[in-house]
Amino acid sequence: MPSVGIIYNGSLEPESLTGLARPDHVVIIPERFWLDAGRTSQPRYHTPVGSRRVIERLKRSFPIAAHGLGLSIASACFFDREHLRELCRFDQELGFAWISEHLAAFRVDHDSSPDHHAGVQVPMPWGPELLELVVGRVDEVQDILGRPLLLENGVELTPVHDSEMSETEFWSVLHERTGVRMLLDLHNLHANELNLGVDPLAWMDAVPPGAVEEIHVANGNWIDGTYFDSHSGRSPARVLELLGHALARFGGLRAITFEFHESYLPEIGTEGVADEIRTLRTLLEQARGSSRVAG
Amino acid sequence: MSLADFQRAFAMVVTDPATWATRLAAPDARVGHLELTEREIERLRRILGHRGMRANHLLLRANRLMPIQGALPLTCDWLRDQMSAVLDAWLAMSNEGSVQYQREAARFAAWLPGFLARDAVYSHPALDALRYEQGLAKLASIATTTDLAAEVEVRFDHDPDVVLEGWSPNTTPLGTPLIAHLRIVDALVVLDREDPDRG
Repeated sequence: MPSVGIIYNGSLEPESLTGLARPDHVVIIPERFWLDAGRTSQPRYHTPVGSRRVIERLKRSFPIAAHGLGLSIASACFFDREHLRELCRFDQELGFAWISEHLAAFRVDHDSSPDHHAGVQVPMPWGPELLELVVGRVDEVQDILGRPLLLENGVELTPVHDSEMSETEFWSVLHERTGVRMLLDLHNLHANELNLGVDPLAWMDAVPPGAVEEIHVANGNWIDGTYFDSHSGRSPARVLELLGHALARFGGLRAITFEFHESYLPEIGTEGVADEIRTLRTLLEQARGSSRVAG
Repeated sequence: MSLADFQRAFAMVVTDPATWATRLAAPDARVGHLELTEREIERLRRILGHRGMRANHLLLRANRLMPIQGALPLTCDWLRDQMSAVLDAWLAMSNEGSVQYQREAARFAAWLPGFLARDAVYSHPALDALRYEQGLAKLASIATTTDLAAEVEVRFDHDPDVVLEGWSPNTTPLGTPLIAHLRIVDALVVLDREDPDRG
């Protein structure tokens, strides 16, 4: 059975969730635990004592996984190997249960900055040039980490016209060539369904059954006619419906993780998070009972 | 064809989609000195014309503001009436974005006094709040490394009690700036007003 867990954001201590609501695992965002003075600074990284204590405390109670958000693995301008090595150092020190990142590009260099965060994800031109870049990067990441990497599918707000491949073709070839498995974010897929008309069931069916290792669920909200992946609450019914399809489709799932942003905890409530975990467990049990968890 | 230049170009056009949509409508359009193929230019045109571009721009503003708001919440509170204009100017000037809170906040803190001075504003509660929040960050960095007895000096041009309460519509500058000291006592930060006889 996949383990059921939550993202750690400091607003809720996972130890406070008990019984069936106790998470099987906790996912941390490593970049929130270290200070990065920038690519041109020496020393560049610093982990405050308080941050280290939090991770050590969590580790005493739960398997901890890392969900990186700063690597920008698809940036063609440069590849931040120092960032990768810091992640590797964290892993060697803390022993993450697994490590995931995003299939995304958001960092570029230009005339006045060697490292500019674009503020949003750069649209992905799915095609051979991007594929060759990402295949090389994934191989290098897995070499340096000495372990497999999971990559998350993203939200697309402005798809690239005239791409040579579909997103799922890209993922399929990437998985075939590197062995990288997907962190399937069902809420991202749902956002693409609402904003772009993507068929999430067909999308999942076009991904190889063995290519998914972890699933994320979350909620979002509408702003100015666009649905945002804001992690604003408990999973909507549609995301749970997609989870049912994913459980039947993908074998070898390791984990399901509920993501929520700390600013929304007052609305969700600790009991809401507990309910979400219990709901995910129930769905897993039901899927197993009806043999709908792919083996 | 260059994926790197396409990514650089997107990072540029997303900061001002309306202006770039107009510029790229020209048949021989370029984005700075970047080497883009006609196909990439057309991709950018389509992206700029897509309804999701408004959302991208909104997200960019939120994401660039987030580290500043996160590290300097009191300063942002005091800027609330001007925040949109401040953010416009910050984005127009700052083409080195970072999501590292302390780094982005430090750059914003270095820029804000000059921005306000352009309108001859040299004394503003937001600047008091900025010095206070920078002082807190400095104190935290000192105290966690070596010296728990460290203290940091902060200048206030307005009553600290009013500044620390957050935004209010009417504030009057003090006749003479006040120097306060931030210290850690029993795991709490305390702010002592300088005793004129202290030295």
